[in-house]
Amino acid sequence: MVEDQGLTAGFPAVSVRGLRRSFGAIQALRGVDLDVAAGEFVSILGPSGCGKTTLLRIIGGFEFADEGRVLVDGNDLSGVPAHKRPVNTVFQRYALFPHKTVGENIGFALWVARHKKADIKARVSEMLRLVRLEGYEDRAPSKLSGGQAQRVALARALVSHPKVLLLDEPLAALDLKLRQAMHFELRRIQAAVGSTFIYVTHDQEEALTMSDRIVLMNGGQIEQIGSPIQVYSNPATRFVSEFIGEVNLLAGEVAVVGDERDGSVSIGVQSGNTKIVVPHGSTVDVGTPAWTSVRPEQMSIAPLSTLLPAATNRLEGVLESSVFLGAFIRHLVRLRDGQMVVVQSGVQGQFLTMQPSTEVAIDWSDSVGVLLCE
Amino acid sequence: MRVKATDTLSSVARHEKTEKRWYVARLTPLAAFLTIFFVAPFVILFMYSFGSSTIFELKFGSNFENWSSALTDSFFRTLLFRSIVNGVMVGVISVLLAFPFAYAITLGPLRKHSEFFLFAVLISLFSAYVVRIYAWRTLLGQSGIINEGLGVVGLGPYDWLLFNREAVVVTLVNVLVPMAVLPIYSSLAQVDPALIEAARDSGAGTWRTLYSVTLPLASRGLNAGFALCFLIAAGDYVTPQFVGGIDGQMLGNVIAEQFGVAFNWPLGSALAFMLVGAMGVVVALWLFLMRLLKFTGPLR
Amino acid sequence: MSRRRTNGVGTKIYCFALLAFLFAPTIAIVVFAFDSSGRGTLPFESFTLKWFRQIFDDQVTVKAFQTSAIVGLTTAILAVVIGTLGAYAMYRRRTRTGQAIVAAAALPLAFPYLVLGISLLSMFHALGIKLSLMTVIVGHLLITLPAVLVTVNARFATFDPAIEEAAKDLGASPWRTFSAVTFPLIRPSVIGGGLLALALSLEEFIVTLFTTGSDSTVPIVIWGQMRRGVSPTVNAISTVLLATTVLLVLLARQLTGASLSSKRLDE
Repeated sequence: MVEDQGLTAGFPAVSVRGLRRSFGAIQALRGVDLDVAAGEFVSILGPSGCGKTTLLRIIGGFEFADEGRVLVDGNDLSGVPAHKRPVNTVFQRYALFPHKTVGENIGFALWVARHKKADIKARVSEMLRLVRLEGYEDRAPSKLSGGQAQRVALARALVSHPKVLLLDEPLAALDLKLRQAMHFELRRIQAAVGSTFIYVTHDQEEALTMSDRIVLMNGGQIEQIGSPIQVYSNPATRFVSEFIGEVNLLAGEVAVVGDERDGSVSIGVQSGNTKIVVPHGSTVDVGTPAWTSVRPEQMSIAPLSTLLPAATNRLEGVLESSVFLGAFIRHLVRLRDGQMVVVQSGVQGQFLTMQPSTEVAIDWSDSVGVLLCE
Repeated sequence: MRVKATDTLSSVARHEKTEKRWYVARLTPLAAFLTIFFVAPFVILFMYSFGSSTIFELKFGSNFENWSSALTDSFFRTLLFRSIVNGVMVGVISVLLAFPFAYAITLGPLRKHSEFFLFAVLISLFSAYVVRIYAWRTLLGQSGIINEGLGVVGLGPYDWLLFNREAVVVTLVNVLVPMAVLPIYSSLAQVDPALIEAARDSGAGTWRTLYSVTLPLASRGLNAGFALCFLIAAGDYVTPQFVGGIDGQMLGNVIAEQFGVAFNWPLGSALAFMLVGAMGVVVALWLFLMRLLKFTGPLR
Repeated sequence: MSRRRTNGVGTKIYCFALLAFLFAPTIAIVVFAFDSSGRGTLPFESFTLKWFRQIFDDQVTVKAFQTSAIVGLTTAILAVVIGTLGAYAMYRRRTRTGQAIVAAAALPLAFPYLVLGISLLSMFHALGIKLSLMTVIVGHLLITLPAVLVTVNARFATFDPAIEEAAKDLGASPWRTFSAVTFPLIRPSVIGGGLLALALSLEEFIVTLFTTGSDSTVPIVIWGQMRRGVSPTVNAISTVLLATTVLLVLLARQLTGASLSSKRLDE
C-alpha cells in the first residue's frame, strides 16, 4: 500500500482497496489502494496502458474488479451496477445522445428519476448557466463544437449533483488553447458544485494545473500520490521523476552516507570519478546503486574557461546543442562518461553565445536533487 | 443509499448472471425459430426419404428403395446432371457478367456513382421472380418483342428462342446477376485502390494486375457470388416449367411433382437430398479450383 | 493515360448495357400493362388503364392482394422483433455460439427454395398441422430474417458503446436504456429491415406454394394466370407488385442510409 501524502482530514468520498483486474494474460490492475477526500480534485496520471482508465471504469461500475472493493461514502458498491451508483462520468468522446437536444441530454438523469418537468427545466437552465452555455437548450448535439459538446457532457453528468464525478480524459480531443482554457473552467465548476472530481489523464501539465493531488500510475500500480509540488519536487520513484516534468537522472553508487552535513548522502557518479551530494533522509547502504534526479532548471551552465569556484556539485562535459525556446534555453550536454544531461538557462547574452563543442561545467546546489534507489 | 458491505465476489457474480440472462432471453427467439422451422423440417424430410407412400397414406419406414431409385435411375441421373450443368453455367456466366460491373463501380471509372448503380441493381433484385419468368416467356415467344423486332427487319420469327435449356439459362442469368453483383461489390469495395496503383507502378499490365492482385482480393465475393447463383439455379423448377419446354426440364421439376400430383414424397425427398448433396460437392470443387488457381484471398 | 480513358468509355457502356439487360424484361411487362390490346407484346395499340381497373373486379385477385398484405406485414413485424433482439444480444455480448446462431440464420438462403418448401411441408404434414397463413408466414420468416439481421447488425457495427454506458451512468436501467436511447437510434435501420422483409415477403413465391393451404398470394395468382396462357391482367398485377416492392426498397434505403450497399450475402 502506497503511503498517502497530504490527505486532508475527512471521510473519504471514494475508497478503493486491493483492486485487481486482469484481461486474459494482461494484468491491468495489480492491487490498487486509494482514498479520495470529499470535494477534492484528484488526477490519475500515467502513460497509456497503466491501468488508469480501468480503475476509473471500475469506480464508475462499467467494469468489475476480479478482487478488491470500491466504497463511496463508506458504502460498498463493488457489485452494484453502474446505473445505481451515485457516481457520474464524463466520457472521452462525450457520448451525447444524438437524438435528443442539449436540454434533453442534460436533463436525462432527472428524467430517468422521474422528476417533475418544471424541476427538470429549472435544473437544466442552472447547469447551462454553470457551464456558460445559456440558451442552448434546444440545440442539436451535432451542431455543437468540440468544446461546447464537452461542456454539455459535463453539465449532463453534474445535473443530479453526484457526490463523485469521473472524467475520462475529456479534453483529449480539444486543441491546446481550448484545453488550457478548460483547465480553469473545470476548477471553477468544481468549486461551484463541490463534488469530488476524479480526473484521468496522460498529460502531466493538465494534472499539475488542476489537481489538489496527483495519483501516478504505472503498469497497474500506484507509484506515488501527492500534491503537484510534492510529486514534482520529491518524486518517489524513477518513473515519477521522469513522467512529471523534465528530469536528469544521474546513475551512480552510494559512496558515503551521512556526510558532515546531516541528512545527506554522497554519491559516486561518472563511473565513480566524481562525487555529488544529495539530500536524503532515510538510511541507505554504501554501495547501493542509486539514481540522482535533478531538474534542468536547478542546474546552471557555464563554459569551463570562465570557471567560477565550484558551488557544490559540479560535472564537466561538452555542449552538444542549445535550443532557444522563447522564455528559456535548453542546453544538451554530453558528460565525460557519455551520459546526456539537459540544462535550462535564461536567455541572457552569455547563454546565447555559447557554441557547440565548448567545454562546459554544470553546477547545482547540494540541497536540491532527489535520491532514487531502484 | 445504504448498501451493506456484502461479499464482493458474489455480487459481481450476481451481476454477471443477470447480464447472461438478458442475453439468453434476447437470443432465444431466433435460436428457437431456426431449430423448429429450419433444422427440424430437414430432419423430418430426411426421415421421409426412407418412407413409403400410397394413394391413401404416407408413412415413415426403413425403406431404401427411394434412394436406390434416385441414385440409379438413368432418368433422374440425366436430370441431375442437367440441373448441375445448368447451375454451373448460370453461376459462371453471372459471375463473369457481374465482375466487370462491380469492378467499374468500385475501382473503375464509375466509382463516383456507385450508389446509383448499386441501387439500380438492388431494385432489379427485388423485381419479383415470377414476373421476370413471365416476362421472358413473353419476350422470347413467337409473337414476343424479340421476334417482332426481328420481323421489322425481315427476319424470323424464330421458335427456338423459347422452350429449351438456353431459355432457362438466359432467364436465370437475368434473375441472378444482381445476386452475384452484391457480394462481389462488397469484397471489391474493401480493396484499397492504392494496392492497384502500386501494382501498376511496379510495371504490371492490366491483365496481370487483375490476375495477381485484384482477383485474389475479390475471391471471397467471387466465391459467394458463384455459390449463390449456382445454388439457386441448380435447384430451380419454376423457370424450366415455363420456359424450358421438354428439353429444359430439371430435377427440381420432378421433385416438385412428387410433392404435388404424384404424391410420392419419399422419392421426392431422396431426390432433393441427392440434389443438395451434389450441389455441395460442386461448390466444394469450385472452392478447390479457386485455390488451385491461386485465387485465395487474404488469409482469414 | 489516354489508354485508361478509352477503357473508361467501354466499361461505362458495358455497365449501362448490363443494366438494360436486367431491366428490359420488367420494363416490357410494365409498358404492356398499359396496352389496350392485352396481348403483352408488340405492337402497342393504345394507352389504357382498364387492366388495372379489371384487377378489382376479380374477387380472387383482390383477396390475394389482401392475403399478401397480411402475410407481408405479419412477417415483417415478426422478423423485425426476432431479428432485432438477436442482433442486440450479439451487440451486447459477443459469444461464439451467438455468432454461430446469427450465421445459421443465413443458411436457409443457401438452399433452393424448393427444398425449403418441401421440408416445411413435410414437417407440417407429419405433425398434423394444417396449412394456413401461419405456415406461409413461417416460410417467409426463414427467408426474411437474414435481411433484417444484416441491416440491424450493420447499424450496431457503427454504434458507439459509450452512449449506452452514458445512459446507464445517468441512472437508466437496462430496459430504460434500450427504450429511451438505443432503440430510437437504431429505429431507422430496424424499420428499413422491416421494409425489406415486407418486400421480400410480397414477392416470395416458391416456398409459399408449398406451405399455403387454400390461400393465394399475389405471386401465386400471377403464376396461376401464367399457366393458363397469356392473360391481359397479368401485366397489370405484376406492375402493381413491382411498384410496391420498388417503393419499399426505396424507403428502406432512405432509412438505412448507405448500409444497404454493404449488405454482404456471404455464405
